[in-house]
Amino acid sequence: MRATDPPFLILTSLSSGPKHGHALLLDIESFAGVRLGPGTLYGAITRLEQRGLIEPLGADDRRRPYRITAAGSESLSAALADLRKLVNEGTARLRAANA
Amino acid sequence: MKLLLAYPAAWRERYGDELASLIEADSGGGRIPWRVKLDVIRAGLAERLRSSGPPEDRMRAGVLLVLESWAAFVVAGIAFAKSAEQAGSDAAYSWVQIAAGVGTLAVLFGIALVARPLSAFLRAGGWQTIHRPVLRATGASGLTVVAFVPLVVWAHHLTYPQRNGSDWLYGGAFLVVAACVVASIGLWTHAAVVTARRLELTRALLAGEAFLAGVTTLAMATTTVAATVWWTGVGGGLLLRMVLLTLVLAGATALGATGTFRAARALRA
Repeated sequence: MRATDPPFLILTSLSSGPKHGHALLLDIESFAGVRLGPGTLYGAITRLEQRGLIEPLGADDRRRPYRITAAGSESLSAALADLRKLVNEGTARLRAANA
Repeated sequence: MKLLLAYPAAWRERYGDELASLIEADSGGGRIPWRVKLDVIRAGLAERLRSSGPPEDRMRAGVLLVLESWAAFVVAGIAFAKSAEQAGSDAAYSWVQIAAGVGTLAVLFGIALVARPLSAFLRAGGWQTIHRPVLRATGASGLTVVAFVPLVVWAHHLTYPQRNGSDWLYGGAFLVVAACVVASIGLWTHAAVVTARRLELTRALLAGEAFLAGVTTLAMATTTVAATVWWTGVGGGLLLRMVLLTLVLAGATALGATGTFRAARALRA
């Protein structure tokens, strides 16, 4: 999972609590500066739900909030660890090059 | 919301309301921006390609995609044949005709295969659920015949140059009849798809349809290649028109290949 992949952004957003589609769009835009299209967002929600990484809560009118599952938290942690490794490696190499 | 028709019915059933609510909220209840429309259509089509559900449903969807692509292919093929009248024919053009004939036969066999389930469906009162698209298609065909006959009579009184661009009134009438033909093909294809979705089809029958869909796609590919070989040999003033028509033929073939691939994948499931 890359840092700008919609599933990664959705899992990151849901890690702070359940959200419905519009709240997800606004939250992702605020922390990642990425404005996902509604179709892209729901495509990613569909895949994440099929893989058991998120789950729907009771519908609130026509909106339905989603929350991250235990498997979703694990998957996000693993992706963040990979990303951290990459960040550390890149930072170390830059530091060495500038030293 | 019409935009959601890009998605498969089962997907709409589950997520349609939520997505519609999100689109409305995202556009502030006003006009939906083109950026959002394109995003939703792209995602809907991707969902159709990916759609799960029982293998039989996926096979049927794949076969129907081939039928729809064949309809687009036929429209471009008619335009190609009309343009080709003005140029000579050779071995490559014979291949165009043979491959197009094979494709037509495969589609007709496909229709013949569902004759029995169609008859059972109509006897069980199915007409009520399909009469609108069928009547619309019949009306369009009637209109096409009514417009076509006087055009043919008129054409017999014109010279070759008059029939091919120098008489603008005839040219306009020709375009109207061509639009009627395209509308008829489109509406009959829609009626066929609506009907086929409602038929009780066994797995064996769907496998037969999937095989014929493969034959149709192969015929479309052969026709497109042979047509390209033919017009590159002819060249001249037809070049731009032929390039455009070949692009449509190739696009329809690609769509047919997608449908065949989906049907074949579902057959193995």
